Amino acid sequence: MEHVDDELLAALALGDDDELTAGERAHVAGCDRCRLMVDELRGTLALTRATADSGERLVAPGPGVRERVLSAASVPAPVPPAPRSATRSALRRVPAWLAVAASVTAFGAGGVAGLLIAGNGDESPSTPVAVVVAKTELSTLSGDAARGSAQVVRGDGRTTLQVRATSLAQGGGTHEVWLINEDGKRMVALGFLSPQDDGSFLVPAHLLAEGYRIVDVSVEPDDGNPVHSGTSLARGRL
Amino acid sequence: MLRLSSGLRSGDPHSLAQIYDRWSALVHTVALRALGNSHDAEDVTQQVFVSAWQGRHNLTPSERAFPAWLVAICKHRVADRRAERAREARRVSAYAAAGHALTDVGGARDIEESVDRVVVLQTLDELGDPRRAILRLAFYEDLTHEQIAQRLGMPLGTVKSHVRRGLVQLRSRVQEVRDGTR
Repeated sequence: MEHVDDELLAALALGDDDELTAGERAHVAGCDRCRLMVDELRGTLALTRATADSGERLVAPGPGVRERVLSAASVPAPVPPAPRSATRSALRRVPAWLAVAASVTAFGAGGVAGLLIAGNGDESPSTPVAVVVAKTELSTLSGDAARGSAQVVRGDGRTTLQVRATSLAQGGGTHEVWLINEDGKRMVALGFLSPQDDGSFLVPAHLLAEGYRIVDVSVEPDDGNPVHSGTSLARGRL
Repeated sequence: MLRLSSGLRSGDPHSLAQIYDRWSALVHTVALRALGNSHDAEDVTQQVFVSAWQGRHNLTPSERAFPAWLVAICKHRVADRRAERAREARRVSAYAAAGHALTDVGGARDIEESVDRVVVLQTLDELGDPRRAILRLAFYEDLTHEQIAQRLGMPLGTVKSHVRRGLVQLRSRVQEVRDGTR
């Protein structure tokens, strides 16, 4: 016979024996697993009553502890809210280690082409041909080896980031493209590069105006984890 | 939404803040009962969450494993703190050291029991209503199931079912932390 359902065993532990059929009671009497469960449930019942009777409560630590914990993990506190206008589902907070690397790149990288994005809502829907509005050379994080290039193209009412990376080979894993905000706090995943390490990604135009200008290529293990792996193969600032 | 464990492992500080907000009272209460003063208990609480952050790469990726994991770290930090106190006592006098050694043996047993109770409090706090309200009336106000049904305007069968399922949940949570920390 199958074991008796835990809820019925709980009824037994609470003294509601008549909730069980004669067959169920007979099973419990002869089954080590079910008897043990009833014993444990009785133990939990006594523990819960004793806890309630003692009037004990959880005691929160003082507010200073939270600050010290978060600062030890270099978390900026309080946590700023995500920007209203950005696509929320795709936004990620940038881990502390990545933010540091991002700011280094922001100040250290060259290769900045004329960025023609003046602000919001300046797109001309009648732009006849695609125009390169920003571009960058990609390099390793240390900046000592070239890793291809990326450019932002606007035309036909859409903005596209085109990436052509080179020499990324890093064993297994897929190469994913991210835009990191210059504030070092926010990032957005754009998608994966082809096996040839090139790719073209639609970018909401306002993201660039909001400071998402650091192109990052990471290697992602196939682990179902949507967060940046922490391993950047190439980077450049638009 | 990111799961807390994968968020923490990837180094997302926001996950640490969420984990702290959810379980710091549990950890602090265990430490406070084991050490008896809030200065040491807050120190230990801070160490537990900083250790959790630093050791996040070894984390078992299951949400349910968090309380057991944090309590296990807490027990180690409490033991360290007690050992420090014992060393300090030995410096003061051999007699006091003997006294402290005895206290510590009792302390190790006490901490298991206080962890059980703290896990019960945490679980009761986290239950959704109406189960939470029903269990509070049953255990804190000692109402019968009939009285609870009347008070909340619910069928008796519904009340009984919530109490039973709540008891099953309490047993699971207590058992999970025991299994993960002993």
